[in-house]
Amino acid sequence: MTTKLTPQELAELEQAGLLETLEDVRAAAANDVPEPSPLYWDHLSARVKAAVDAEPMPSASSGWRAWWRPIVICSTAMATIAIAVALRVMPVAPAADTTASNEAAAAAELADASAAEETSAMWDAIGAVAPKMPVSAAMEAGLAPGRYATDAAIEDLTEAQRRELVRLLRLELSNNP
Amino acid sequence: MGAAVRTATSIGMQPTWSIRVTRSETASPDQMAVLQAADDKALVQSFISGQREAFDVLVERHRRHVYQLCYRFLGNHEDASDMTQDVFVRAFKGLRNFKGDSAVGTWLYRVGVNACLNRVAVKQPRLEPIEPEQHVDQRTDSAYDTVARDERAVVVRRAIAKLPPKQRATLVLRMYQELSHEEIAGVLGSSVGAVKANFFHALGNLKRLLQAADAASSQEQS
Repeated sequence: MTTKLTPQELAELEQAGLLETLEDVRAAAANDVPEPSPLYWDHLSARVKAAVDAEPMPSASSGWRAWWRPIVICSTAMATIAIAVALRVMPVAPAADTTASNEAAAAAELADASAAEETSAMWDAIGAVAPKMPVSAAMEAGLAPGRYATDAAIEDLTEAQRRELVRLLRLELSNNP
Repeated sequence: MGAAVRTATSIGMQPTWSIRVTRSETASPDQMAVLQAADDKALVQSFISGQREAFDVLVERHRRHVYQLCYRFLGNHEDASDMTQDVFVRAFKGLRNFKGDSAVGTWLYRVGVNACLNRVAVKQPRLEPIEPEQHVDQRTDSAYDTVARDERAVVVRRAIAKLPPKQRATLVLRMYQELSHEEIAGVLGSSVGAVKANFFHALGNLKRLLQAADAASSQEQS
């Protein structure tokens, strides 16, 4: 065995009491692999050649394909997530409600949203349609708000918007005693 | 035309398949002589440029070391032989990605160590008993010494097989394959400091395992 260890390594191993173990390994390492028959090596080469011949010659483009594919997959995943998040945070269209008070709340919210997003064609369309849509038609169309949607919408209002909402509700209630 | 196709056409059938005969282009003796004389990096370049025989020369050049590495991890000829073939097939597929940062032999060790560690992680190696007459120089050793040394070697090999994978790989590459710490770092993809620490820990763990084996052996005898 001709493994060369530096004097420093040997000193460290001696200090740790590992020289005897090192000698054990050295002794076990001597001729630890039985030498196969001289014919074996050509047989091994022939086996490898047969296995390799069954493989297509690796193409030059396989290298860059290997790295651009993950990039494309990641980009697609990120784009999908971005779209999903954008859709989720997009303001929910105020739907016609079953009560007159909710209609008033929706109208108040609609007024604010229209001011904030003047360019939104979607809001314009909903603003035009919602006041004229009967509640029953809205329900049939599946436009009823989900549970807690009204509460959540009120939570999002600013103080001024809430004051305006209260004013509209009172006005509505006074018109429909 | 193959016999099956001839038979099919003679009875009026149109075969839905065909036999394609491809003629393998082998290198001329002169080309092979050039390849045999080339260094490893030149062989890699020849392979990348499409000369398949360059890979055969690489196999011939490194097969013994790869086989010995596999044997030291797997402990028997059959598994080592299969793994050696597998290592070269992996090398064939990945040789285009070889950047030339290290020697081809070191890169092959890396492929081999990874393949062997994956293998021993799923299947405990079956250590082949080594016949004394295969290895021991009978001219200088008494029969008793021969048997005792051989038994000790088996115990050490079993203990090495129980080491954690990185420690085992470090010990095998350092003590058996005689690689330097720097070369081992290249093979294992770790720092030289980590290799030195692994080597130290491997010997420490081996010492404990051998002590436990000795204690168990003396208990059996008593």
